[in-house]
Amino acid sequence: MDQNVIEITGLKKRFDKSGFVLDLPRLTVREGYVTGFIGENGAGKTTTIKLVMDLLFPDEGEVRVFGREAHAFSEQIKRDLGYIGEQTGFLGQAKLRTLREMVKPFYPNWDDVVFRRYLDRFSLDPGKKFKDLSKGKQKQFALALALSHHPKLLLMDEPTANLDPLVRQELLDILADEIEQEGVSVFFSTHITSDLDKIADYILFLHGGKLLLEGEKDVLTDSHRIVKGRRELLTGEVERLLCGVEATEFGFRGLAGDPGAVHALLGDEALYEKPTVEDLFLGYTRRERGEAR
Amino acid sequence: MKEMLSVIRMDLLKLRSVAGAMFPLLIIVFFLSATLSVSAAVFLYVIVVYFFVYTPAAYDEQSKGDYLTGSLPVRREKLVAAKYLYDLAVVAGACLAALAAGGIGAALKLGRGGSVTGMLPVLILIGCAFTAFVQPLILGFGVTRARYWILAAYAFGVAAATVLGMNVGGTRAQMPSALPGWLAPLLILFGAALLAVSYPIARRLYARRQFTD
Repeated sequence: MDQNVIEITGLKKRFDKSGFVLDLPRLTVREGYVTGFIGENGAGKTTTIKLVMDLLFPDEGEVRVFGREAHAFSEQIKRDLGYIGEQTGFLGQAKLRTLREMVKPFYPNWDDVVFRRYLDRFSLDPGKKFKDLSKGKQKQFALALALSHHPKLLLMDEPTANLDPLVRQELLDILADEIEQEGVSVFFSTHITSDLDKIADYILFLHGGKLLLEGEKDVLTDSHRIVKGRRELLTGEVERLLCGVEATEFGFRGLAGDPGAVHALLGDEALYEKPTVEDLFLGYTRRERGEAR
Repeated sequence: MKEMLSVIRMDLLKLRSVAGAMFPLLIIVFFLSATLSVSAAVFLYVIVVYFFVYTPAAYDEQSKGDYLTGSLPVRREKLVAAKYLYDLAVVAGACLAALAAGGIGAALKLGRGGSVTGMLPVLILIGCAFTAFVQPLILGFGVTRARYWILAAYAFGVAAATVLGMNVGGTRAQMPSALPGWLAPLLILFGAALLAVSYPIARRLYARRQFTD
């Protein structure tokens, strides 16, 4: 499993009304892994996913899924792709069994056994209307449908947004099961960084339409450190080695991309902690905003 | 072909899901049409075409149905073809409903006489014209953005039905039992020509449509 299920090269997408530009020279999603896509609101996460889904068209560049061009081969690609968008698109007045009837004929690999298993697991009544479900149940149903045709790639846009912690954890557990049993590749966008801590193998940070940071999650968290120390230790030289620095009159906190260099200056007078995904995201995002000022 | 039939099936299932709200209204209109006059059957036809083409699309857009459709493994051109086939089925169904209403009225000797059968080519033309105008707008711009143009098309259809009912044969609410022989196929051909022009326009618009909402 060393191929890329998604490859984006030289991508540019402009929105004239808002002035927003998505600029991705290169973005890849590895096969067989969970790739988390994180960014603040308006960073371009949904735009990127829509470009992969052929719901939007790039102004420049190319999007490839399973090695094939996303627009020209959209029909073939979508047979092996499960999609859960921020908006599910399911008719609210339709019953769950009717929605299954709508979707099933499009997928040669549809598996009713899997579908019924997920309905049971999520305690979903097929006779209920979609609009009568809670937000969490709606997402669970969307996941059940998406997984019931044995997709090779699961593409999700903010799948855990508006879910309570219990439901969110269950959804993440199911994703973990699917990856282990079926070898499904997962690409999902979120602004809930703790989800990425729990499940992601690779993470991509998006900010202002640009990729800030990407890599294997464990490598990124191992290669960075949160540095904390007394205020007087924060010299100009130290500050240049940190990003996202927060300083009060008593102390400071910052993210070090080269902890060795910081340790060479501060030694054991500072504390060095392994960052979470949120620490990485905040550090780099604040650095970008600081440079913009 | 399989994907097109799956899209039509999906649209019929959507229609069934939203029909609960429309069904009582349609029943009332049907019986009013049967008891009033033949021209009322023409009104029934226009209402059925409008509701069955526009209303499911409106409900669907309310639920952001484009995201579901966009995620399904079906090419955009096949989706457009399926929409037109569905609309033709609606036109056929509306004709049957108008015929049934007119037939019941005639059998019960209600209304003011006349025959819907004779006006079938005109009804087909109205249905084809409505589809030809409305479907590119729905596919190209979405129901919400195109709603005023669609309402205008509906108003025109109602006006056309009114003019037909009042002025054909020079007698109010009377219709001839049949159109002149040369006119009927011409009207149907004209309807087909409108669809033949509309279809590639709809395909082009939908092929270029991007879902930014």
